Amino acid sequence: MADVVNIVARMLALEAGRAQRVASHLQFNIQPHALVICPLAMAGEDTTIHAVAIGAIGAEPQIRVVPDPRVRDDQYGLVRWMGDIIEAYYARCRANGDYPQIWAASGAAAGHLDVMADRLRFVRDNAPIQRVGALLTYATERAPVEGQQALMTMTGALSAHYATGQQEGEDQHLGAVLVWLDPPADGDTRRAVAIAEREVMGVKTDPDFDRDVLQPLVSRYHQSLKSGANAAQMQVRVKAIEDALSPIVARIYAATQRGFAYLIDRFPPSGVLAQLHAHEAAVFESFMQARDGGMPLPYRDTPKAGAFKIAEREHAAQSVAAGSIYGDAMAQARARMAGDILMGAVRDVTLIRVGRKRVFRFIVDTAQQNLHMRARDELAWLQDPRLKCVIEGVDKQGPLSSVRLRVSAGMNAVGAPQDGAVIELGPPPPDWRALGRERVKMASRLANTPWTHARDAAPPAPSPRRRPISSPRSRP
Amino acid sequence: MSSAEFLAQLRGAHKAEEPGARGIERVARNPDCLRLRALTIAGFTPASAAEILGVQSKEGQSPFALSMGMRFDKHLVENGAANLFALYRKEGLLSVQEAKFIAIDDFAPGASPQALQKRLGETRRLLDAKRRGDPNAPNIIVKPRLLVDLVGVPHAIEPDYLVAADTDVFYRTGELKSYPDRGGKTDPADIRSACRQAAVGVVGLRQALASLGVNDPAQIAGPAADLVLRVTGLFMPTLSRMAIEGEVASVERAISEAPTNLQELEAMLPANASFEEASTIAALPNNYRPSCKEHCAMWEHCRAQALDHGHPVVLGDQAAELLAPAGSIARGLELMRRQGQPPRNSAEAALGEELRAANDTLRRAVGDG
Repeated sequence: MADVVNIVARMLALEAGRAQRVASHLQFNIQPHALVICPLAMAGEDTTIHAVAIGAIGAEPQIRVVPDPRVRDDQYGLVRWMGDIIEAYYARCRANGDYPQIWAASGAAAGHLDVMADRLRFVRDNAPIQRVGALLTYATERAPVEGQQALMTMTGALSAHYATGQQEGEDQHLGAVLVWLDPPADGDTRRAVAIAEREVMGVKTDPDFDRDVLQPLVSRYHQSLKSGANAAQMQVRVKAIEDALSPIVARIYAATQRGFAYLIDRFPPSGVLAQLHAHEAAVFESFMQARDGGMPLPYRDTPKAGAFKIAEREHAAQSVAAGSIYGDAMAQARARMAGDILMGAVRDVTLIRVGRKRVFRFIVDTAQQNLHMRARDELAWLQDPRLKCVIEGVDKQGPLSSVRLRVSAGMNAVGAPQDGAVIELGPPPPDWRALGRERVKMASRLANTPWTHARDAAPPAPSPRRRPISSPRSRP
Repeated sequence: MSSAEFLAQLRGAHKAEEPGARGIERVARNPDCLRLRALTIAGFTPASAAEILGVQSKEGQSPFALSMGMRFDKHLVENGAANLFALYRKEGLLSVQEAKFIAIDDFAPGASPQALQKRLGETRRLLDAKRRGDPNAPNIIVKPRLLVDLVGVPHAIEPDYLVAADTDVFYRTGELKSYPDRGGKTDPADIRSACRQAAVGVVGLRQALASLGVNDPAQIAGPAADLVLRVTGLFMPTLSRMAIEGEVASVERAISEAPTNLQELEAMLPANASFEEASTIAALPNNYRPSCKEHCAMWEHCRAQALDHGHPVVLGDQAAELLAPAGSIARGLELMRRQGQPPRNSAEAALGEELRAANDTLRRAVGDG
């Protein structure tokens, strides 16, 4: 189903020429010590970093450029320099029981870090470079997991809080998004966006710039190198390339830093963020312990590891969806629209005793048309989720639905709801420890790799066909 | 007026540009865009059209990317395609004996009409040999030259290579791409584009077989292709065998609908209209989609037009679908606010309700921020 709220916000943004808020609460933790990394690759050379700007939130960037990233020693020099910064940052976070957070300008930049992580950790005979790859892998492997706080993109973060008057794909250009957030004084947002889009905000430089500026500079650098130019002459060549690329990464870095101004102190934190913080710190510690223990980080997962990761992602998606509705007005509103929250008047509260146990039952009458609930679903009271109920049945009478519920937990701590009260019940808060229990079960089930996933394994022989029962007369 | 005369009129003094597999693939990507189709049929690339429209075209590739692509292709096809052959050997798809290789370029290098004609003829001869089951037919043919007929006008394409084991009935097309193969993380847009280009090759093979008198070419030239990508960060190739039924069907549909498009165009355009005029191009109905930016140099012009008309697609595909009953963003806002004309039908009324509910939700949750 289309996210109608988001579409309405985009319509309003286009009409106003200004981005519209679509979040009531901050959707991510912004680590005050987070590291902003803005890499620039050479076109066609997907595993290179030609220039990079790095710095903390609000800090001036440290910029490093190599004359030609295809020259391995130059490239590894840059990677080692970047690795030293990341290593020190990770160590500080670990010492404080915290987790590191890396911010990239856009999905393309985050994707590039992912490619780099995949490549660097398999570099042969170069432990420091492998280490940089391994450290980056923490952030890049977390990126696809819902609710992760390790690798953030500024375009993604801004899109989670604001709607622009353009397509979702166009929101991947950070410069354009910033125009929507801070439109020009003359009100011509459309023209300003078109101008902003001409600036490079991804990870590759403009093809025209490459052809007209960068390639001649790189060629001259190589010519000087071949002709045995002296150090001063080489320095001139190197500086020319630095002067060409530094402003580009500096601009991307500045735009990323500018984005924080639209997030920090603009929204109260969402209720689920404290749990996500603790969870991320635990995941980071576990990752680092595995590095200490020399555990490899394979390029492709084994079937078992793959199954664990799928379970982790599913668990994260469900947990974040369930957890976000507590302490986030917008998430609650979306859940109401989607029919995931039951809202109505309580009636017929009854108490019966079954042995020593007290069983409360009640009915909620609602006019909601799009409820997505069924018998045996467990719900929690949004106001105090300790009170949990199980749906025993749903009766439809014209536009009204009567949902029959049994209190399953919290009757002593919270008490049963009162007749006539208006109540809101939604999915219970997530159990962040459930994944650990799930993994124990999975480990035992996957102790032997199923034939479907085992290399060169033959399918099991079909079970022998049962012979038809012969009639006594046909027996020999 | 015949199709050829009409196309000549549309072209005017413009020298016809070969769309190549990439150009035909582009049409199949957005089959509802009459503007793109008409220009392609008439021999205009989107970049030329963008220039006529006064749009700054950004279709060129970086020289670094071009150089990388060329080096990768060369690495695979040089020395008798030794590396490409080794890849197929490694995958167990060709045996040691199946090393018969031909580079069509070697027969007649260059771009002279005679050389191009010679390459076409040689390709045809080799395809015929394979079709007849000749055991000497090559296993790998690099840069075969094929024709794809568009409204009676043959357009030449050169797939990267064709491959077949001796026991195979016929060739399958192969595409060499220097994208890093990252398994499930490989950019799906890159894969889609490569598969569509390969599909144009399949259509070219089918048309070649038809011209050789084969009754059911689709039976012989199946909808399958091989993609050769690069191991991340290295020059080592990887091979993926792809089923491309959907891509082949979309290319064939785009080609089969082209004559109808010409009749539509003739009826739509004023007499003596030519695509050399920006106004003629701008008057052609288009179908701007969010994905146009990936492949069409005219996207900025088309987006500007969509914005001028307040077309919901400027907010994305989902918005275009949701706001279809209203037809424009302005009308959608009117329905949401109960302003302007009352709903013209039940679809508009339902849309108005839905938008109002969403707007109320937004206001309640975030205020007017």
